[in-house]
Amino acid sequence: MALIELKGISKIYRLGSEDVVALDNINLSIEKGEFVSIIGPSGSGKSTLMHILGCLESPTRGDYYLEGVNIRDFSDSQLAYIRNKKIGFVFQNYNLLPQFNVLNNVALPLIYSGYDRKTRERMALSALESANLTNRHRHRPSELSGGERQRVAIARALVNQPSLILADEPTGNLDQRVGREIISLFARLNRENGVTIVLVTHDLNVAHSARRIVRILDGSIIEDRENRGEST
Amino acid sequence: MNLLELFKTALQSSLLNKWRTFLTTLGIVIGVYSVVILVSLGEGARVYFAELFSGMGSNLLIVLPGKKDTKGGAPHPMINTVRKLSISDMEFLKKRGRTFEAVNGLIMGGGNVKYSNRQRDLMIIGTNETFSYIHNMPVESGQFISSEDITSRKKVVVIGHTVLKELFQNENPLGKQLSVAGGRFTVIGVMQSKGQSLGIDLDDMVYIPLTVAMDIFNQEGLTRITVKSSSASNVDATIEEITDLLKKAHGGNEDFTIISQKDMLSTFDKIAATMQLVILGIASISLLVGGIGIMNIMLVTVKEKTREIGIRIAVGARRIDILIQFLIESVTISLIGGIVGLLLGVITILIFNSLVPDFKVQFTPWIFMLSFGFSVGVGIIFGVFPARRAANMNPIDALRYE
Repeated sequence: MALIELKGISKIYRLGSEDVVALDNINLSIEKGEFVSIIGPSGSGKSTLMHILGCLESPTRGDYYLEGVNIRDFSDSQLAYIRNKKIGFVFQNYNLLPQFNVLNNVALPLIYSGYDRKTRERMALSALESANLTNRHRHRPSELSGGERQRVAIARALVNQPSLILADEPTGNLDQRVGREIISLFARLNRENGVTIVLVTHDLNVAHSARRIVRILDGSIIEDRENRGEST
Repeated sequence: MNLLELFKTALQSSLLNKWRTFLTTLGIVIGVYSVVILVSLGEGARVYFAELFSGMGSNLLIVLPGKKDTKGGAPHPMINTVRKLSISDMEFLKKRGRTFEAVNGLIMGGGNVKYSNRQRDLMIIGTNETFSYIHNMPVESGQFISSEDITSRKKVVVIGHTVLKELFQNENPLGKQLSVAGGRFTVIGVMQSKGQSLGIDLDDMVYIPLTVAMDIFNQEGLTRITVKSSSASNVDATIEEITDLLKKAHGGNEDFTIISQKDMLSTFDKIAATMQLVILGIASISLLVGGIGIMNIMLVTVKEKTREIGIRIAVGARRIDILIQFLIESVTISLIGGIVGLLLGVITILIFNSLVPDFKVQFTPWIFMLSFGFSVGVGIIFGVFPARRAANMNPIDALRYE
């Protein structure tokens, strides 16, 4: 059973009287433990695809099976549960809460899973360890470097041990060296912890660290291939 | 997340903008403050009057000379002075009354009282033997004026506690000779201490037989006649009976006024009801203004936290979680205002009570509940709209918001 199975997914936005097709009949299957890059120019529909994969948005047509379950008719609360337990997001601009310290930022998803404070802290500490950020727990995000902030965001994505991590241009705001570190962190998490990673990027170098590359253009998948050997 | 943690987070969030929170809550502070003050004042007045009336004795009717509410029509041309209430009126009531158990006549006047070289100007009350019973004012030592003292016009006097203290300096006064308005009187009793009522020291008085007092003051009319009805349910019947009897005695004229404690209480209740309306007006206006302030600031907060809302939804917050988060925040702001208002009110009352010892403003437990309820209510009512706006946000737009 595939972790993710998209069947005939389309997303059409209505802009005034015009219909804009963001995604057109996407079929995609991602197995558990894969590391997939989705690559395409801006406006190609890759962000929309990621939002649909992350249950932030529902498709206009088509079926989305997550761990074999069709989530098309899921309620708001059920989708929130999936985002909370099954999916971890990593964004280009980190999206940390400025008023919270590192530990509380990482523990944020756990609040909605109903864990008590002690458990949340313990889980957050262990997630921070996986993300290679073992000090600075009490710092605010504004006191950290870009690379450190992205590690906090990755720890937050990991904290509930999700089946899937969705990373949207995670290196977009980082310089090359730090970006490479972040990408190798993803690779290590995928290799050692078996976390499934879907990485959306327009940067070919970044895309090539994945083992599978899906190329998208004008809302359609135009290439889907294994990536052997080539690296950054 | 449990409620306590939500409150803690909301509190931290409101403390990030101390001034903003303070200014926002000002309306609530003023609203709750005025409610606390006015309700406590009203409650204090109620308790004060209730104590006053119960101190007077129960089921009492006071008959005063002269008609107070003349309902139209000119006075009788022959009667151009008010007919006085006389001792014979009193005796007539006593003889014929069936619905009441005691009748008391009373005459008051100022006068000088002297013992050895100490003297004092005070209130002299001429009355008969029923006074002590009717007004629930027993003697502490000795005895009260008896009916025999009245008929034989004995020069005896019963003194109040202040008189005992000031003139006799707590030596035993019984049997001593006291000069009252120039005459020599024998002290036969001391009243129990009653304290102050409506600013009058009830202990700074002396009581002498009614007949003797009328001679001293050279008066034919009584200041008032007090009638004690046999039971609370009989009060209305007693009013009717007194009216009938006195009209008979006065040749058909209703030239007197009967006041019941119920009348006095209902007058007070009318004042209290008016006051309550004023309270309600002030409170609702300031709470409305406060509520609008909270709504306004919550809309700003929701806008500022747009991205936070997006993040929370992305990591698994349900819409209801977002709704509750912002509702709790508005309730917290409102509650801060309520607590500040309540504290200011309590402090004001404590200061007032220490400055004016006679009149105690009352704390009632429900004033705390009331201010709590008001603030939470305002927080919820005016927080729903901003909170719904937050909960219904599109997470993708929210995450992109700069």
